[in-house]
Amino acid sequence: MIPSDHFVRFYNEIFKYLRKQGPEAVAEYYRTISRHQETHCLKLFTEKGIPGMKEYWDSIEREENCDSETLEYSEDVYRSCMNRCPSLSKVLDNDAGASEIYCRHCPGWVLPLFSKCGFYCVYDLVGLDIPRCEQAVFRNLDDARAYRERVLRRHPGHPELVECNF
Amino acid sequence: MKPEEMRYCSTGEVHLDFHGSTYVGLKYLLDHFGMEAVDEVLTATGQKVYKSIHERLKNGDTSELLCFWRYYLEREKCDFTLTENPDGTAVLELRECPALRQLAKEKIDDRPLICHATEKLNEAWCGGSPFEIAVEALPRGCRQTLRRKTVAK
Repeated sequence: MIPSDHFVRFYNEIFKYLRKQGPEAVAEYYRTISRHQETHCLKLFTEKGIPGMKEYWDSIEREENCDSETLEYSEDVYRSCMNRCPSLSKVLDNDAGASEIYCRHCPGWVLPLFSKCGFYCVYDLVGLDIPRCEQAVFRNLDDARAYRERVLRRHPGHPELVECNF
Repeated sequence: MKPEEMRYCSTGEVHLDFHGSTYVGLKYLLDHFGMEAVDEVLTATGQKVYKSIHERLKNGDTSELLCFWRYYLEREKCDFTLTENPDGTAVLELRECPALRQLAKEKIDDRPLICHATEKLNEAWCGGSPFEIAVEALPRGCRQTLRRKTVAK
């Protein structure tokens, strides 16, 4: 049995395998994960909006032992920072080595879910081998667009470190 | 072996939803690429991720595997008994599997795939070692017998 504590290292092996199969195999897996995650959070996000999102991520922070903080929180905006991601940290502390695309699984499943709820999200991946990131969720598309421009300016020449659902 | 001597010793809270995520991954591989893909990923997990357990078993040392079983099953608050013998063999009686328990909560009924994953992981760990792990199903779990391979005469 793979203990739940070690899921992420098994997950990492899946991404290594799928990367060899091609980008569509990875993309379809993100969509599959997203559909599974809907069972945990779609109803909450749809019914409660940003407060529901904070409720969900507060419980994840506790259960997954995250070192994260809320940067901005209102009915229209929710920005948070993962100071030390336990998921990528485990994958980096791993005799099998990390998949180069491991980090992308978070925006991979989160962005379609936000789209279904009618919210706009900007992900700053910071660095694919650095266990830090920032997630920003907006009710208003113009606010999200303006924020994305700010984040892109943090990564000149590396737009691939910024993902969004618009 | 003490838990802190294991290659990976997790602490803090346990996120049991990950058993559902493990199932989703296994099922995705099976549906899109077949059982060969499932087995390839599980073998890589068993022998590369868990290199320390695998190498020790090849050297006749079951200590890390037994510590791993006890530590992580206790963390997940499982109903189990682990009987360790002086020669390094053991019997794990897992009366309630934490993966099956979590999947039941998520209304996922696919015991064969979950149990296959356990058997394949065991096979990967024991590959090239003097040991094998025989798995017998129990109503809500299994009995895993870590024993020395019999050598054909």
